[in-house]
Amino acid sequence: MAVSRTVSEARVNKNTNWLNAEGAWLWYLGLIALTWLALSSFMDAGLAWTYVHLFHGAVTFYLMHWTKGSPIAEDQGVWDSHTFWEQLDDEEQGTRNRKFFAVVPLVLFLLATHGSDFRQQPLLLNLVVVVVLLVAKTPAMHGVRLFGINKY
Amino acid sequence: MALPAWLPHLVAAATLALLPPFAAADAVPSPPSPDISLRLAALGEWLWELWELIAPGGKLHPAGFLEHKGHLVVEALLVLLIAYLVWQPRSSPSKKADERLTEKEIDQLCEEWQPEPLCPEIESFPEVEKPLLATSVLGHHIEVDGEKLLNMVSTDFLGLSTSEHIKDVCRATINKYGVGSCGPRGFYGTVDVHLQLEESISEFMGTQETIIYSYDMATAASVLPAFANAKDVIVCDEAVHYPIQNGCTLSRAKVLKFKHNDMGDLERLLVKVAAEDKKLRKPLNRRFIVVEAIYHNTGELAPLDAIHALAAKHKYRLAVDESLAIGVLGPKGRGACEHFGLPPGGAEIVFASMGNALASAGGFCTGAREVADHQRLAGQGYCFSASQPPYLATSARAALEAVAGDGEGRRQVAKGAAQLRRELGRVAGLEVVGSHERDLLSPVVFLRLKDAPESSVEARRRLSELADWVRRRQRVLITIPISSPIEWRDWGPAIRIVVTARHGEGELRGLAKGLEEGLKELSKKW
Repeated sequence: MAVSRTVSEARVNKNTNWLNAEGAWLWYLGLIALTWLALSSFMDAGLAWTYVHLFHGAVTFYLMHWTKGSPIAEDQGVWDSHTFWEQLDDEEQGTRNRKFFAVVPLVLFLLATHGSDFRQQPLLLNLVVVVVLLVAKTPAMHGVRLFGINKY
Repeated sequence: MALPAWLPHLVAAATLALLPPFAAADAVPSPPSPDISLRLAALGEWLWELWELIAPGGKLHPAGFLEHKGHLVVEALLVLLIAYLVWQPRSSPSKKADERLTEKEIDQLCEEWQPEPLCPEIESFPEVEKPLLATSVLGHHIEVDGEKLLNMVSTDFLGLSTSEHIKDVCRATINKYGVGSCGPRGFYGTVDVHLQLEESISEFMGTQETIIYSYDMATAASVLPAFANAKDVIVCDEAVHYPIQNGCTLSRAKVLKFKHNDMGDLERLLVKVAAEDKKLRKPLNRRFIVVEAIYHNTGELAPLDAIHALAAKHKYRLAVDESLAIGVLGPKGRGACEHFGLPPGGAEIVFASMGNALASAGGFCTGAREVADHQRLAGQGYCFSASQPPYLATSARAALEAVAGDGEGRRQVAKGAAQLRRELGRVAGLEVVGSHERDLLSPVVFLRLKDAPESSVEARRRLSELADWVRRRQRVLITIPISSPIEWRDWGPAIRIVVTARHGEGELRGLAKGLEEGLKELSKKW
């Protein structure tokens, strides 16, 4: 009889473990799709992807890479210096959640640049947004605060 | 490959813009303003040319690049990047690979296993005197081992525990309601007498609302966790007794202790907390200072005027345990807050045991309406314990009326306390704990030996010999409290004497003389 012992896979950080729920990713993609639909009701559908990409970039950067801490009182402030991205999956890198959230801005960038004529939209701005988001999600940037910005 | 036509022009414009002015011109110094405007114009021209290159229509604009399907290259690169991200391995701070034990390893581990003892070996048991058996009601006198002794151990400061009027009230209540209340306050356990008692206490203390607890030791342990939680700070005196220690621990807040009655240390702590928070820029949390009016462990008064001033200055909430001071201190018997002249609401949370001067059982917490109301759901001892038996509620109410009307009793207690402390202070070889002017009012007197031996076991033995001597010769019962290892600190053995309103001048003088004589006689032996 062989005994197999594995490390517990339970995620206890209530601030982030809702992403492991069924349908959480689908809900997220649904939000993006709904935003695109709303925007494309009054502008060119291809151009709407640009605005979706920029808006998504701004919102996710603020929520995932800027705000720190957690609203859960029982954790006694142990996550007070970590952003949402750093708290995700108990600081484990390369998990499915992290891959998903790294791929989404890239896909949006693809859609944004391809969805409209390259002449019509701020290509540079899209590129800057996607580069910033991707750099923020790399494992090397875990816990790094450039120039002391947002340290406390 | 020929150089693009625009390159030399660009370089010339950049050079003109960026080189220092003297290098290009003659040695004739020209006035500064036309020179600077010339450089700015050159810079502007250079920027404009750069823009023309990368703007739509220019040579370097991506449109040109994309006309030749360059965007497919970019998109292919992005797809490759996505694939790379998706195929990254997982890595975590601490992750062991699956370990599989062979049968041999399992057998080996089982053989090697040694059971650990359930509790550690106890090296030495604390020496405790043989307990005395009381065979009468605890009144002014108490019968112990067949002898009638003067009772100086009960904290029945105004002598209400043997009041006939209160006993009549109890009998009437038991006849009406029975003995138990059969439930917690939230589940059929609330009787009208509870509400009446809460109103009476509020009226007596001059506060908005009161909440009753059935067990006095659970009061502090319920009040503090109801208001402080894991992100808050509690600053308390190191001499607080066990219920408050328990409450601090249960609240999960950060607990900082300051040296007993040391206002300098308290201020230092408050300033330190403020400096730390400013440096780390933590979000605002709740802060509390918790003290006792008269300390159960040392019999000293807390300097509430100074503490209140510090709490107001640093914006802390003040919680005071008035257990030993209710009915004893203050012009109306409201306790130490009244005695020190704190403004109404100066101590936001006031809680006390009703087992001392009020001769009942249980505790209460009083203050603003929000303070008491919050505990109806957040006070663990309130929600999850059976409510007070109705006869204790009515007896407490009757005791409150007696306390409110009995100014004489309070004066007698104060007089007796001051007298005993002064007389004992004059006894060579004995040290009365509490050397301030304000401590003269405290009716709980702790005595230590001046030349205490090194070992506390030996000190305890000597003190208990002295207490026995006084018991046998003077017929006065005094004791040495036991401390538990679960408390924060052991304050060392000391004789505890409680002065009540029933003790006369002669009795107190007799006790002081007896202690002096006993000490003299016994120290020859030691």
